[in-house]
Amino acid sequence: MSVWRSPLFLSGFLIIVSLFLGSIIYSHFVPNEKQPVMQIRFDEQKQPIDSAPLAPFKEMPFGTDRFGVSILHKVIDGAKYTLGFAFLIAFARLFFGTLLGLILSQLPKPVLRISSKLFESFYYAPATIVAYLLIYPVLQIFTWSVPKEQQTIFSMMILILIAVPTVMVTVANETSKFLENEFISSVKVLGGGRIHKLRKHVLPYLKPRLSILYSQQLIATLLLAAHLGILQVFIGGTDFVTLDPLENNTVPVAMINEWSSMIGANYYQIRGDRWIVFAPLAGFAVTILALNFMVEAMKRQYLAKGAYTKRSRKVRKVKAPLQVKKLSQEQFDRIMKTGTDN
Amino acid sequence: MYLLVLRRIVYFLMPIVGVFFIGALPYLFFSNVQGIEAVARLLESGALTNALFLNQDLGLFFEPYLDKIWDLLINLVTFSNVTFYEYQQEKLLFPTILKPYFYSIKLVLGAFFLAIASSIILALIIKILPDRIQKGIRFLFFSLESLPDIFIVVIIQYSMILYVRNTGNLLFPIVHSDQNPSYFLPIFCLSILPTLFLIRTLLFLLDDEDSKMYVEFARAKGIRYALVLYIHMLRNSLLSLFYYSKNVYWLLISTLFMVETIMAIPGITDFMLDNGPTTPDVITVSVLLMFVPFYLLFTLSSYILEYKLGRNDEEVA
Repeated sequence: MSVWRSPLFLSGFLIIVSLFLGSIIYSHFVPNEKQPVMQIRFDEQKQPIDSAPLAPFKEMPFGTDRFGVSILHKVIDGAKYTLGFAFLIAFARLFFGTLLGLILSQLPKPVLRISSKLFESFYYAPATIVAYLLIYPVLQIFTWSVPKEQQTIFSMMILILIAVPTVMVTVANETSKFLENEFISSVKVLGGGRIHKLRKHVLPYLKPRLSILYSQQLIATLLLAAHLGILQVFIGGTDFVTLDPLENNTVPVAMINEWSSMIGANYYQIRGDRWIVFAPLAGFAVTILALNFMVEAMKRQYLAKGAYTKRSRKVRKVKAPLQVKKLSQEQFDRIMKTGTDN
Repeated sequence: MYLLVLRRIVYFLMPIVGVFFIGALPYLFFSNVQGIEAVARLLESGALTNALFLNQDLGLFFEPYLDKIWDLLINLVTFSNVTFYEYQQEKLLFPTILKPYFYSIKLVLGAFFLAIASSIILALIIKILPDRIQKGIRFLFFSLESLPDIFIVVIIQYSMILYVRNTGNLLFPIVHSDQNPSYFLPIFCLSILPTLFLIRTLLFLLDDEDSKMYVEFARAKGIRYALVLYIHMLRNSLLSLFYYSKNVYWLLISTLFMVETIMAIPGITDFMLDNGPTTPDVITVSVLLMFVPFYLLFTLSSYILEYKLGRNDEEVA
């Protein structure tokens, strides 16, 4: 059974795809210039009764932020940035990690073991803090000595590089374990070279594992982005808006409606106007849940071990009913007479 | 034999050396780290409002990187104290870092033990439930595990606020203050994700145990399933649970950061974030402080398990 027929995988996949494509289509029809804005709410007598940020379920479905922009609009519009960004980063992580991992698996055994132990520390060090330490100076301290594009490229590179060692070691270990199989030595005997072994034997074996790893890296990227958002490091770029010139009240504002920066930029409002933070957080939760559904379905399919389901020991046999032969009267008579039908 | 011991020692030390590679990363990417440090210090003290003048190249600088790693290694092996900069004065790292460190370690250890205890109890309860309910609960827990850690912490904090608003009494302090240090809520928040992970793993191991001969034999003798579960299956799968303690540590550390940021706890990650930009060495020392005790624990337990069960780490993972 293909993984595409599992309802768990399909539901996760549909959620992700509809979020991503829905966001692109939505922002095609409702660009940011036409975004729903309501700064002041009036009652029937045209009396102002409320001002932004408006609470949810009154006029705007999820309320508005403090500039009066609908949160629902921001969340739908931001999905394509957050998801697209995560797709890109996770793909780059996997690409470089796999490449380096395959190379690493061809090196002598002690090198593989020592490097896998060395890079184990990347797994234990808090990734958020390391990423923050490297991205923060570029985005906030020497902002002027590096052009804007280079800043973005650099922060993306950091987000990629931070996970490459772990992916690399995982792939290398997986590959070298696979190469210990007995049929690999027959491949060698029959004249298969290194490249042949990698292309014809290792890659087909790795493919399902890589798709699991891809979804896991997507989850890790999303979490990392959310954490960095809380630390006021916005991936889409930061603007500063002065709310009250007299009180030196300047707040960082994200340049695009990306979810993690929405959380970070409005985090100080969580005690009062919590819906501004909860809506993008819920977006993250739904996305990660959908991705986990996909991971779970793929794990059950490819690795034959699921995370939450009980593995049943009984193999259900499907009893197909015997096909009934249609006989003509002539054939029937012949069978009754001779015992065979020809 | 000597070679074997030497190899073990090298493998043992490698992850610790790796931490130095992480801590010195700014030196790999920035040409002028001293400049960043100095400017960060001035920005912190308020003497500067921008850093227009700072010239900085981005790239890969292997030589200063390796130099820095070597310097730090020598520094720590000879137990010389690292200085860092806070509130416009140079301070020694070592007595200062201990206070946030002990706070964090209390939280992490508390969450670790809470997670182990609650996951064992919950897993055993789930395991004896009827099949249908069990399936539903497993799915529920699996879904809960997918929630991002920020979401969990924020929701718990907010539900505490709602409770206070409706009833008027505060169950637990939701934010840290020096007069009123908060322990229970951070530990609770920290332990949720590890608990869910451990429940899943333990159920997985127990399911594995289900198909073994001794369970069927005991059932055939007429012993109740619950009894076999509590006494034999639990004992057999608890040992294997230790192989997953590394993942638990990872979950704890990544959530610790979120809990400390949201609940304003002056713990080790908070210390790292405050002083990391001005002194990168702080990161190395703090990661080492958090990592090494747990690493020793894991290594020790994995050797004991290897001795007892005759399997080793690589085979299981």
